[in-house]
Amino acid sequence: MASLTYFPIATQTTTSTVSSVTFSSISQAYTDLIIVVNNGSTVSAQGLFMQINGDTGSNYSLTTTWLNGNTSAQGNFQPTSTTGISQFSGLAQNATTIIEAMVINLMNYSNTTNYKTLIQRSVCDATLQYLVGNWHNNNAITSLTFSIGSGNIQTGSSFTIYGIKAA
Amino acid sequence: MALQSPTLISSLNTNSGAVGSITFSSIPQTYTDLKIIMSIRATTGGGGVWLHSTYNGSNNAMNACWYSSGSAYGNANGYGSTSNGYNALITGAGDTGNTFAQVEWYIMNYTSSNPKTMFTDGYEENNAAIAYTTYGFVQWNTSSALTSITFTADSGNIDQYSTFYLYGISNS
Repeated sequence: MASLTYFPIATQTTTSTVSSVTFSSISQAYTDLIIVVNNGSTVSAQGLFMQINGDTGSNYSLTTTWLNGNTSAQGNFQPTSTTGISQFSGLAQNATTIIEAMVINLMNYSNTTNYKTLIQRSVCDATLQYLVGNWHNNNAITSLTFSIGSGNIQTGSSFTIYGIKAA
Repeated sequence: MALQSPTLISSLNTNSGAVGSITFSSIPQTYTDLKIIMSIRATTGGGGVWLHSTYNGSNNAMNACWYSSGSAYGNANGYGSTSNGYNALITGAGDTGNTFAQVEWYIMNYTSSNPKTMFTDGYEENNAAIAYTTYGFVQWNTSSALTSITFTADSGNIDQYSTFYLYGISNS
């Protein structure tokens, strides 16, 4: 039986505060991608924002549900037309340290016949979130860009892309 | 050359009999992230027993999770002195015999001086109508590198024939 193996494709750790982190020329040699992020922001209550292949148009949709670990507040939102995949970030806590975490499963990213679907699990401002997102485009995914809604990505934030092969 | 990940670091089991706790200690500091996969059952309780975790011997700072079964759903959270409570729901003595919960932990940047955030999944097996699934997270706010993790059941012991595997994941 083939084992689930993570092949590191690329990793970036910010050495200063930056407005965005971009992975370009992503290898097309794998079936799926797993993206692992451990970040902070220079402003609290700001979620990460991801765009694919530099697409800034309203070509994304998502559904997310969230639960706060401190207050037990919970909710959901599901915008049908957005300019990127965004975390819910409505509950302010001290997020300026490197405490935010995110794992994204991006399926079938290199195919050119289907829209791309992702599953994202994250913790932002002590808020656990599950998100299913869709990029309404058939193109293969070759680049990913991460930014913060307001402010910058904190120094010491790490972003890693792993490739997963089907067999 | 990139390392093959996940790499098995350590495996533990309770084949010799039930135990009060399971600890991975002296965790090597050579990986980026950690993954723990366990098959676990508690000696008491039933219909979902909370699995607790401590890190380097101390409670985590905060946790929260959703839980659901065929007939119930909700959420739980804890922080401060009660923070080690709500990590995952596992199989207990009141559940069907010889069934074990499947539980997975994913721990990021465990050697860093930043707070540690981890995701926790639990799938209680009961072979009956009620079996809980839990999706949660844990934050351990310390600048210390993570060197040991201990798991305990909310009530009773960890039952015989439970298994625990610790894997390392490298980003290069």
